[in-house]
Amino acid sequence: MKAIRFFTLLFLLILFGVHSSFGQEKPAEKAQPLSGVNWDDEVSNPVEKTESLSGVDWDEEEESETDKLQKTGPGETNWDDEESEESEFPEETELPQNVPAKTLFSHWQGGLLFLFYLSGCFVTAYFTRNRAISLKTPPELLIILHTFWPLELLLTPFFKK
Amino acid sequence: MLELFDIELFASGIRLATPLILAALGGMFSERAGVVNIALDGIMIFGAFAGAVIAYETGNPWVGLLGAVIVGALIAHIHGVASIRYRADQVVSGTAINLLAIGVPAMLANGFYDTTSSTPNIEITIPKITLPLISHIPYLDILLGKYSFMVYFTFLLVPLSWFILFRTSFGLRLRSVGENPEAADTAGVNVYLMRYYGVWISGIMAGLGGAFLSIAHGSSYVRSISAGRGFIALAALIFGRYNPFLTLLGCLMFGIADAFQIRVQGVIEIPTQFVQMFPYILTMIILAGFIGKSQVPAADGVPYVQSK
Repeated sequence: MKAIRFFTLLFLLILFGVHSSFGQEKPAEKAQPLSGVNWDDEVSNPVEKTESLSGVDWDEEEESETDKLQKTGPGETNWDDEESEESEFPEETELPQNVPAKTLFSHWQGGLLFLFYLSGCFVTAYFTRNRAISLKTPPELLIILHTFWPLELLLTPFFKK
Repeated sequence: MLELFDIELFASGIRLATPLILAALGGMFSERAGVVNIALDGIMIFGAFAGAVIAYETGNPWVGLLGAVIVGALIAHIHGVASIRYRADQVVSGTAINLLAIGVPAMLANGFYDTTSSTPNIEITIPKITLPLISHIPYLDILLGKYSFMVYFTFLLVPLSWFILFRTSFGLRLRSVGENPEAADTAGVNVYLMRYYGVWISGIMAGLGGAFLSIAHGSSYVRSISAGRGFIALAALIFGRYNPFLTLLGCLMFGIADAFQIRVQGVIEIPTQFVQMFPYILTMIILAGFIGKSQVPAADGVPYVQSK
C-alpha cells in the first residue's frame, strides 16, 4: 500500500512538473490583445515614417557623390572613413532567446514520464493481482484499468474482499 | 553494385527494422497466449496517428509516445474482447481493425486539420542518443553509435521479452494458455485474463512501433505510414518461431531488405515499383518456406470455452 501511495505521488509530481514547464508562457510570446493596440500610433510613428519620394532632390544626391569622386579619386579614397560611417542597417533588436537547456531538460522529463507510466502499467497489474479490484473486476474492464493505472490506484482502496 | 553494401546499409536496416521488431514482439505475446493478432498493422497505424496528433498538440513527443501506447492498447483490447469474450473469428476481427485503420485516422485528420493525407509536422521529435564510447570507434559509431532513443529501447525490449516469457511465472502461464488452456484452467490459471494480457501487451508494442514511424523516424503521420509493416512483422515472427531473438534476426533481415530497396532505386535500371516490391516478395517467400516448419502454439486461434 505504501508503495502504491509513493508511486502515485511520484507520478503526480512528475506530471505537474512537466505540465508546468510546458504551460509557462515566455513573456516575449504573450499575445497582446488587439483591443489594446493604438492603431493611430503606429501610423504616425516618426521612426517608421517614410520620406515622400516627391520631396527628394535626386540631383543633389548625385552631385554630392560625383563631387566626392572628383576630389578624392579611387586611389585616394579613404576606406576607413567608409567603414566608420553609420551603418545603413538598423541595429538588431534582442532576439527571443532559444532555451536549448530547457529543451534538453524537457526530453529528460518526458522520457522519465514515458518510462514511469509504461512501467506503472505493469507494476500496478502486479501489485493488484491478488487484491479485490483484480478479483472482482471482469477482465475486460481490468485491462482498461491497467491502461489507466492512476485511476486503478485511486479505486483500489474502495474495493474490499 | 558492391558499393551499395556498406556499413550505412546495415545502419539504415537497423533503423527500419525497429518498428518491425516492436510489432513482432507484441505479436509474439499475443500468439503465445493463443490469440492470433492480424491487427498489428492497424494498431501501428492508430498508434502512429495518435502519437503524431498528441505530440503536435502538446508540443511534447514523449506525451505523444505515451498517447500512442494507450491508443494501441485500447485498440488491441477491442480485438481481445471480440476474440476472447465473444469468440469471434480472430482473423476476421483483426482484419476489421485493419480496415478501420484505413478510414478512421483519415477521417479524424480531416476533422482536426482539414486534410486526410497527413498531420502537421512535429517540431520536436524523439531525440537521437550518441553512445559516448562507441561513437569514437570507427565503423561501430555508424553501426551502433547514434540512433533514436526508440531504437535502443527496442533492442533492450528483446532480451526483456525473452526473460519475461521464458523465465517468469507470468510467462509460463501465458505460454500455457496458448498451448493447452484446459490444463492451465485446471491448474488455476485464469485463461481469459492471461489471453487479455497477451493481447494488451501486443497492443502496447504495436502502438510503440507505429509511434516510432511518426514521432521518431518521421515528424508527422501520413496515410499508409505503416506500408504493411505489421504483416511483415507477423512474417518475421513466424520465421523466428515465436522466439524473441530469432524474431529479431528476421526483422533485421527485412529491415536490411527495405534499406537495400531504397538504395537500389535509381541505381539499377529496374523500374522503381519492382524494386519496392522486394521486401514483400521476401515476406511471401519466407511465409511459403517457413510457415510449415514453424511451431505454432497448439491452441493459437482457438477460442477457449471454460467448462463448468
